[in-house]
Amino acid sequence: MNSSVLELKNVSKIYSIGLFNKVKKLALDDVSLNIKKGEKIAIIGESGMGKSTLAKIMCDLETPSKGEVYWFGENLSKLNSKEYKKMRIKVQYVHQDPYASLHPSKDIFSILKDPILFNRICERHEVKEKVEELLELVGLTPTNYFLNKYPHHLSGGGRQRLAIARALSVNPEILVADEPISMIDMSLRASIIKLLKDINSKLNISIILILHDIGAAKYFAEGDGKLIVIYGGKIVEFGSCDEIINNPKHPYTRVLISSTAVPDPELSKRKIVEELKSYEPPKRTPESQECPFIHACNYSKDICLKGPGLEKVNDLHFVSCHRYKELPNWKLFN
Amino acid sequence: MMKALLKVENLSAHYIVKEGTIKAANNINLEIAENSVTAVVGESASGKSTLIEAITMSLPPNGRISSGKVFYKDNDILKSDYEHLRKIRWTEIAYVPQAAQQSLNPTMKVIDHFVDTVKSHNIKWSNHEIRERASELLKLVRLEPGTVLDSFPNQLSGGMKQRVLIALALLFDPKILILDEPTSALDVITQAHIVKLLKEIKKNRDITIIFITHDIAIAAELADYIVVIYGGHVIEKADTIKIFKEPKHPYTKGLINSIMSILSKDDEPKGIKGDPPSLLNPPPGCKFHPRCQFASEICKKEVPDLIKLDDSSKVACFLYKSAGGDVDE
Ligand SMILES: Nc1ncnc2c1ncn2[C@@H]1O[C@H](COP(=O)(O)OP(=O)(O)O)[C@@H](O)[C@H]1O
Ligand SMILES: Nc1ncnc2c1ncn2[C@@H]1O[C@H](COP(=O)(O)OP(=O)(O)O)[C@@H](O)[C@H]1O
Ligand code: SF4
Ligand SMILES: [Mg+2]
Ligand SMILES: [Mg+2]
Repeated sequence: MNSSVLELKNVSKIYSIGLFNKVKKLALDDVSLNIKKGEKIAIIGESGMGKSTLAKIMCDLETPSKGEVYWFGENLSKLNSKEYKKMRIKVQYVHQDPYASLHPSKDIFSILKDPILFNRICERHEVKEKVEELLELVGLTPTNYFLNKYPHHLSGGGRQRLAIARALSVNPEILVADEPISMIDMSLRASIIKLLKDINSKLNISIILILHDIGAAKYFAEGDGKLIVIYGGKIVEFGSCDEIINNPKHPYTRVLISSTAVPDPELSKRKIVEELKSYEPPKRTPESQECPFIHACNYSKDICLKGPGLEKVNDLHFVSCHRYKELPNWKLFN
Repeated sequence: MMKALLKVENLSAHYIVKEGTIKAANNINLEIAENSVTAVVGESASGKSTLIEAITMSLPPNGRISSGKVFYKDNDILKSDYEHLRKIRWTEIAYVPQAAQQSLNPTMKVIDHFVDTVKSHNIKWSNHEIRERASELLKLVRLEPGTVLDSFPNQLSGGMKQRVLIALALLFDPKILILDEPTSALDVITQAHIVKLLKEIKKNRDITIIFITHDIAIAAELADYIVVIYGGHVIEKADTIKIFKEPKHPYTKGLINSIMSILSKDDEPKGIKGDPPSLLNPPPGCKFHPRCQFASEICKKEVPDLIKLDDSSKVACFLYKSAGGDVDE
């Protein structure tokens, strides 16, 4: 069995907003998960559902209001600063916006060289070789052409490759990428996902990829990867990607799947898209008890006023819905 | 093809900037059939909005139409006087610009947007009539008139605002509804809901829809015809089924191949190598040639014409010969 590299135990996050911070917003609700070395996990959900909050808590860029975060089996709140510093660089975060996350006046060589030197990843005379290796790995080739270019010479896709190279420069064991394709052109997206897949298999780095597009999540995680579906700050479905996409159990996952456009005009006419009771996001506070999907769900009953826990469908599949066994058989097309 | 309701002939538009001119729409030809849905598809900055703004004469101050004609019911609207244009805009051709959600006036309730639109077109409807009509339209887009009419825009979500804009655009029963990226800023589920509503509107009304999207998969769901734009040029036009079955232009093929769909199998999506062109310094010849694996010498020098392959498809690529068959690849 592979060792755990990242674990969350009952993590909740409450933001205080409004006048005098009086309004409390529940952004993450009792999230537990355990990620193993070399695993590939896609987290999907619409905007405002808590994906970035989760990603930031994983990377210790945000602190949980409740619960614990473990890196490599160690509770973060119990680490001394020396131990923490050693682990810190092992967990890297790739930002959604490749335009804002790169230093505009540093050339590409410096952007990659600086973290390597600062963290003493290799000897000084090996740095150039290491930088070239990274550029090669992320597909910014010929490397000589790119070394003295600046971020503004790159397209969105190129910048995202550079951001990934920078995250990899310190030899991390975990990479968390927060919607890395949402701001880049359609024709460049698949290759970024492919790059992350290759990095995962070549370097055995655990990759957690946040997406809002289930098609991209499937492309990334199919086969041996996992999928987490998040709604209203809660994990509503979790398990093997193939299992969930072929046999979704949660009403939200089902709508998410049937709502994605299929690039086949004839098939798309036969696609069944359920109409929801509401298209508005849930309003969750620390007092919220009910299933987060209750206001939109076509299957809700009184029992749903008390939130469901994550139940096991089988060894590879978990769902949080009281009524999942009573839902109609799943089919995407008529 | 049925009779064209809107016909665009050799339309070119550019922007004047301090570095020079940006040729964002070049020699565009389109025929929009009555009661059809046409999707204009392309990546960001390919000139989609420019084309629509040129057609509706709503380019920003530094934008210029350099040549071309736009026929609506056989009249060149680019030549018509301001009064005439104002009259047909909204009453006959309604246009919801990109990111229009932000242009809703935050100090005005939804109902006041309807009243304002009626008054500014000098239409004599009583307030009661306007409210009735607005309610009817909001119901059509699945909004609850009782609460929404008296809400301010900032009390509504993005998806609700987009639906209000569609309702507002339908106020005078236009013949043509033009929507610039109506679903792009929205989440998947809301997006699918709006696509569904537009399909219903199309089915139940006598209306022609033109919409812009950067996501060709959405075009598959909604459009009868697809126009693909690259680097400010139309590079392919065909009916939707045909485009997905047999895309012709190497870019269209690449774009379809870039889709990561829940249906994609082992033949995994690949994407297209290289980057989209800058329109300030575009490459000579075919704008796609730097990314094209089939590019030959002529592609680097000359811009290919949009040629007719058969009744419903046209392509601008030197790999194809007019009305002939496919060139071997
Ligand atoms: N710093 C913050 N302060 C207050 N509320 C926040 C903050 N960050 C996120 N939120 C709220 O928490 C919820 C989850 O946000 P987020 O994690 O960014 O979701 P996602 O990444 O899925 O779009 C949203 O309702 C958002 O408005
Ligand atoms: N007002 C403007 N001034 C200068 N350049 C512009 C202006 N509007 C758009 N452009 C440029 O024109 C090109 C086409 O833009 P646009 O039509 O908005 O593309 P799309 O809608 O396909 O994203 C881009 O290069 C864009 O930067
Ligand atoms: S628990 Fe109830 S409300 Fe929640 S998804 Fe299941 S059926 Fe719907
Ligand atoms: Mg986010
Ligand atoms: Mg645009």
